[in-house]
Amino acid sequence: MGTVGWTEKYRPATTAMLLGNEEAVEAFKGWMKQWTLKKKPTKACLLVGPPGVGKTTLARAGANDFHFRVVEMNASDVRTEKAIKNLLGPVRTSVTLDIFSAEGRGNLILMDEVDGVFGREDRGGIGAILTVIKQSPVPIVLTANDIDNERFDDLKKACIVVQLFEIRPRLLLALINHILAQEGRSVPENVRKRVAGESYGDMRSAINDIQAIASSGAVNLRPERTRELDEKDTLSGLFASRGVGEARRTLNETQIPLYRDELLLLIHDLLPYLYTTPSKLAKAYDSLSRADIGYGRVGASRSRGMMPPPFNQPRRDTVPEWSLLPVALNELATVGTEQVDNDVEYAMDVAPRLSGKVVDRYQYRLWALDHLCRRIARTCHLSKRKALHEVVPFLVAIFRVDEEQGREIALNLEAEERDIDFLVSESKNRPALKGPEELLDPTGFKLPFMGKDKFIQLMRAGISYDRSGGKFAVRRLENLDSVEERLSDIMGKPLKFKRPEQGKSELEGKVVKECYVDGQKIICDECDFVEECPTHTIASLRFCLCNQTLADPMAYVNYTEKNGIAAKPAKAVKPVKAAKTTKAKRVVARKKG
Amino acid sequence: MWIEKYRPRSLDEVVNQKETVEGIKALLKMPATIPHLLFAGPPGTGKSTVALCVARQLMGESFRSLVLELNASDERGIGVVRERIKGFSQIIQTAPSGVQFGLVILDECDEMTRDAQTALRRIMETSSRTCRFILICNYQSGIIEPIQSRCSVFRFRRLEEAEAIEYLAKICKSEKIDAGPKVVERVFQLSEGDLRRAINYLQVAATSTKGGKLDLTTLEKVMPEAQGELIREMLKLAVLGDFMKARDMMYELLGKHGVSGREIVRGANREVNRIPEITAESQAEVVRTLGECDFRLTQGANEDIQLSAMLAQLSMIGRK
Repeated sequence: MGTVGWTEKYRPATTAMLLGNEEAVEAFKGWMKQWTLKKKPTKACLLVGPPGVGKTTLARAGANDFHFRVVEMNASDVRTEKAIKNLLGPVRTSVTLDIFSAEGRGNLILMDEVDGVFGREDRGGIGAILTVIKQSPVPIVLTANDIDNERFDDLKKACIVVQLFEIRPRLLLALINHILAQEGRSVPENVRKRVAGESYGDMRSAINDIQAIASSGAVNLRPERTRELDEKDTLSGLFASRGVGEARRTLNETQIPLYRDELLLLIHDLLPYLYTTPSKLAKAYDSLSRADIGYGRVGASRSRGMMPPPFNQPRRDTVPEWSLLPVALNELATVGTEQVDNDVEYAMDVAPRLSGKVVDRYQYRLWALDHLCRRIARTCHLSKRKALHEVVPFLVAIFRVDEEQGREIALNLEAEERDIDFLVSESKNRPALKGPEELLDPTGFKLPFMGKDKFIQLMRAGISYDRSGGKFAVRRLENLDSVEERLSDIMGKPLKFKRPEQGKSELEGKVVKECYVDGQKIICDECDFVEECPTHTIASLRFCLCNQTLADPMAYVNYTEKNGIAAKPAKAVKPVKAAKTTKAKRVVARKKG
Repeated sequence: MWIEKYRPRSLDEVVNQKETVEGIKALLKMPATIPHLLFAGPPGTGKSTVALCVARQLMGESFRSLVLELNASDERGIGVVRERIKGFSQIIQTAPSGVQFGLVILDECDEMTRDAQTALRRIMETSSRTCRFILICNYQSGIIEPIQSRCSVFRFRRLEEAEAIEYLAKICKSEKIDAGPKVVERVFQLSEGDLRRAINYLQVAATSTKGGKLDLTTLEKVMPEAQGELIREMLKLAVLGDFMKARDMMYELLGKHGVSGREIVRGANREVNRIPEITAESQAEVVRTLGECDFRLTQGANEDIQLSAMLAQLSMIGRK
């Protein structure tokens, strides 16, 4: 192994040897060329691009092409106005002498990483750079990774901006091959490809990696990303951990993004199922709530959880304080210190994921409420929230007693027809719950004639309409509960869907599949493997499969053939321990028989 | 609604708050030099009504165009203050009555963010020639000091029973409802001194009467279920140790009824005394839990999680 790193050794000396970013190279050369003419450009050149794509190399190679000497200063070292002036002062003046010196070599100032300038402590850094650019008789090249911030606007105006992009993997591969040939070493092709692909267009890291691999012979030297834990592993780790440190390690390795509150909500859904002892549950919830406060203080945008509330969601226009995130994570790490009562797998199986879904379920109602409250607020000199609490319940009560009068009042409040519809349905909703319910067949039912608005609401509620038969149907049968509720809301009377009972004859309205092995009928809703079954949502498939029936490797092929389709491979099916199901029983029965 | 129909339209019609109203009337004798006003008091005591009366008297009946009425709790961000209020406050307007300034009525100011209040303070100063403010709040402590010092503060008391009953009786008379004094009294009791709510109760009850005769049984029958009841139910379930059911209840309150998390906590706080299942010993603990949750909710936390944590804590207390 040579003493020089390969990145230095193979750094191109001239622009002709540069790899990729051809347009940027041409632009830069054009700018350099102007400096050799009589009329000097007034602008500096700003090279922008991700790390390792050759910004510095381009500047150096360009300078070399046009016989300039590079005076380099790293902007991240000296960033205050004073420091920049101090440092540039002598260079500038000596340069004026130097610029037509005997060698014909002028100076070129290269300032790396200018986007590092301008923190709180180096106020004036950009201003200093701007003055230098204005006064400088010599070319100045700046490089930056990212100048999207508005604080760079002035800088952008004072420069011509040349954008460089990531190097394409194929070019990287060619470069790697070239270097390896020069060095007389060989690395297996798949490793070369992996290095080229995983460096994400960063030439420097690709070359460094390949040098390390080639010199040590260790194919796996390239530091693997830490193994990422999926949802289940993260939770298992968190709740199996003995101490905070262990839990923190789990959190460090999770693939669930921690900058959002996804994990919090997930835990929130599972907690009551993990801990059934009240004291343990209370303790875990306390940790979770503290972690949640931590997240609140970070102030990043968060998922809405339960609340889409039109009434009381404060808008945040602050910048997230990320430095507080570790505090929140420490709190979160204590959530699983108690021994769990049920294991994570079980909880994930049984716990309904409410935090995401309830919102959708009530969304329509809340919209309607919001609209109505806005009307009332305007006419009654109230806030929307007051309107909600002080007026709406009374209005509903009036509607319940006397719809005509209610309608009159509502119109006085400048309510629209849709608000009145909503009030009518509200008023009929509650007392009628005890009354007789209409039973509908979810796969095809008739409704009385209705207006267009209501029809659209129905469509939004997950109900489809078959024009030829004149019948409505529920689009996705697994949503029966929520559709039922919204349908009752919309139609203003309690409507229930027929749900097939446990018996054999009541298969109507259920998704029924046949086991492809023994042809036995399986009701998907009752099958314990329904969660991981890829087929139950696809109506056209008659046969179902799951890992219970996938013992032999040819099973899947047979299965698709039997269904008469070439299905895409099913998602990896997780093995399930909890075998207490109808299907498992059948498997046992089959073995006996 | 009757609450609009029977809203007093001039200060002379206001039945209660004699001293306050007198004070305001005195100020109104010299409309040109009227200061900024801050009205503080419990809900339903006539703050907004008085503010509207003042506006009407200052600006004449066409006051709608000369008055900017905002509900600070709906629009409480700093953006509203900067854009709408500032824009409005800088235009010089002349009312038919000769008053040369605009009027901004800001309701529920104590719900405004601190930043917004600070911005408001500055605007109150710079635009004092072109604009007057009437700020309305429930709790004076929710308003930052500098704003308080820039306003003449008027406090509104809870309504005296006699005053309220007199007003309710007046409404009954003009609506031709035959309600005995007992009924009116009961309406007032239900409203807890909130005249707005009392009028609402009365209207709902009146709708269901036949022939204009209103008695106690009709009154009780038609009362809308208060959210208080749902909250009480939730609290009861929690302290009995049924966390799951209590949580479902909470979801219903949050999602279906649009009640905010803090309102749930405050409602629960009101209901604590009314639940026999909470023993005297555990009461303190329950209240402490509620207080803690209320605090946490102010810290920008997720309501769903915080309330669940609260219920979990409560169900532990109940099991002890």
